[in-house]
Amino acid sequence: MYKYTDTSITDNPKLDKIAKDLLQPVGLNIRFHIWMGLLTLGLMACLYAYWIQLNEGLIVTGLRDHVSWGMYLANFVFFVAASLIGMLISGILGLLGQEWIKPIARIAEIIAVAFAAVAGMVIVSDMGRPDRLPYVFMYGRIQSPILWDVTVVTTYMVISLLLWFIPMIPDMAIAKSRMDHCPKWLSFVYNILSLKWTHHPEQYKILFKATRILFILVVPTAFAIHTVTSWLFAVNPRAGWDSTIFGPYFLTGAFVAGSAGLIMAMYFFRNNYRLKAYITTEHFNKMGKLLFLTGLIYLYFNINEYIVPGYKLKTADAIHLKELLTGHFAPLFWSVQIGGLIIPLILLLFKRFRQPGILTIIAVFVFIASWFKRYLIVVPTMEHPYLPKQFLPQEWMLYQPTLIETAITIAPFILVLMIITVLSKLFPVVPIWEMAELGEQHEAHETHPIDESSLSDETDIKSHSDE
Amino acid sequence: MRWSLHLILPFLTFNFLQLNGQENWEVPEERQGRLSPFEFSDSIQQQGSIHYSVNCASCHGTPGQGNFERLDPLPVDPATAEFQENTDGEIFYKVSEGRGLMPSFKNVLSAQEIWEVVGYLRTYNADYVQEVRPTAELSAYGGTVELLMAHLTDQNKIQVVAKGTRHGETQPIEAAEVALRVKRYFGDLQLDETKFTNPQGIVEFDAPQELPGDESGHLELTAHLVNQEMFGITQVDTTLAVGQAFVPVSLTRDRAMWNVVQKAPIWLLLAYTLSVLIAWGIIFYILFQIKKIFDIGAELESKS
Repeated sequence: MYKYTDTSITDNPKLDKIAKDLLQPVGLNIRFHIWMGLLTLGLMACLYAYWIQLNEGLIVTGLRDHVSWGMYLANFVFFVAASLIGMLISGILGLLGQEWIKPIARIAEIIAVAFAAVAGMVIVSDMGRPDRLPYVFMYGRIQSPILWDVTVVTTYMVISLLLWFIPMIPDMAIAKSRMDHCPKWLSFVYNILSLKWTHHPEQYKILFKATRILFILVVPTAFAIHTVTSWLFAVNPRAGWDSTIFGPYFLTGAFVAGSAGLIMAMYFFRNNYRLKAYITTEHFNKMGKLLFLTGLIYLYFNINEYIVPGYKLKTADAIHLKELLTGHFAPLFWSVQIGGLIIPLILLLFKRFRQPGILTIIAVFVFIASWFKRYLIVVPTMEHPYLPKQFLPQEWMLYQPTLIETAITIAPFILVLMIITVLSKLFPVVPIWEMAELGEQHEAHETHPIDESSLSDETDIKSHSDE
Repeated sequence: MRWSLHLILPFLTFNFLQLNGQENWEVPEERQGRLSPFEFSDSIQQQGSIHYSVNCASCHGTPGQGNFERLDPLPVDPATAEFQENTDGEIFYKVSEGRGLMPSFKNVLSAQEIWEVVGYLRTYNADYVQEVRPTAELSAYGGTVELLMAHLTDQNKIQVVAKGTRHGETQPIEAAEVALRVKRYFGDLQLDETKFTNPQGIVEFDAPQELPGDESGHLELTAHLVNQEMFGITQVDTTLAVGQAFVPVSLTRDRAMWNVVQKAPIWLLLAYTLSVLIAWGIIFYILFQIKKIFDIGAELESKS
């Protein structure tokens, strides 16, 4: 679909400016060190909490016999969910030929890699004996969704890593000669990662072929990863989990969380990395529409998920629904559903709420609500075992996370931020060669909608850089 | 008149069921004063406590602890004065017959075992002084009674013979009511209705062919004489091969979802292995492609 000569990229007159813009945030400046220092401090505090848990056991958490999956598992589901945005952007929208995703596709992949890589670690925090982790591989039963989950999470992470890396190879070649302000070792890394890229048509051909295959492969893998995660719950006959639509329900929920996460990341990079010419208001408009679409489907699944059992009202389901709708989970439940789904959906209908700033605020609400939604999926069901419970202390039945547990839950978020920071500070977050190639195409077709907005933004950035 | 009774009756029954927790549980007069045929010795009470913990504690809790299940109506803690006011006969009757949520235990526990439970519960009553059934009343028959059970294979019937020995003379017992029970997982199952012995002291029951027994079709059968006042506690336990042979198949014998990994379903093994092979095959293919990118670059470099 693309016709390249050896020199089409390197001779592109726009390339110099694009490379300068996009490589300008790359490099380890003082702000990077301060930020990473803060993250490390936070991580140390959380690791200390984990050290306590390792020594004293899970008794330091609010987890007991009845609620053995608490915040940790909610966190795990959330992490797997957030990582799915990579597939939605690169896989689904990419395969549909959506050109506008190009500047944000790499950000989506970074999010996917970071969240998928950390998701596995989140599970370990729920283990009383993490030293027995190898048992999963030594004695794992192929019949258990847990083994499937381990398999697909690993596979998805590798594919996401490849989807992040392969389209970046030409950028490495472009960047290695232009990185005067960077430390020597970074140029060295670029040189290795550029894999002797010479912008040869044959190399482009392979690159396009490889990414296209991966785009196709990532779709079923991502569907598998979150469907299997949902099966960890849905293969149980317990109220609130006993559902045949849990797979698609989780998937759409994941797209909601991931889109919100991507919007937040886009906003951060656009402003801090001065990428207004590349991540335009139009991108936010489009992401706002995507968030609306995924949110609407998720709302639909939510209605299904509560009305069908609510109509039949089997005893256990009735108890479960009562807890959620009017019981002690009601404040959280309604906050999540109204504040994190219904109000955002209404607001997103209007274009003014799809502007970068306001959309990011909406995304923050949706993102936080998505986390608590996972909590609402995991905990209330666990608090109502089928077996009759007698003479047990209240704390065995009602789950209350502890401070240590909260710290251990925060740790993965810090890790994700660290991975995103490193990946986005060492490598350009917007693909240089694809931007140059887009610009070239725009010149050919003057009427491309992105062209106008990017032009208006370009004047924006010019005035910015003049300051 | 008749139809109005049909309308009213369910309401009456309903009210009875609703109120039975609060209302007095009337025990027939002739059963109230019934006494245990044996003394509540320590070992008897020990036995009773075992029966209690197996059959009663799940609802009534540990006596004296008040930790009974919160049901409606509330189960009574046997250590309370309210409970201990019952006569031995009343407790025996209530345990045997049951009412509402309280199950009947007459097919679960033998008369001997129910009396043992009564004996155990009386340990929670310091004022209790046991009155044992006078020896004269133990058996109005006034001799020893013996039951015999056999399987008549040709007719496929179970025959029970009642014989009594008094004044040194052994005679068949006529018109004695016999109940035949077979041991099942929870309690006993009564086979057929109770029957009365003929002049030869014989009573015959149809063998329960369709009941699953052990691997050779053995069933544990118990026959007893219903009229305790007359004959005391008389029963015979025998194992007869009258049921169906049942060879239990281990649930872990065949390939199944719940089995060990070596016995996983074939379709699952295939699906999993194929998916992993395909996905990782493609990933390795892509890695190979990346190497090709490198090779092209290296070749161009060496040319220039």
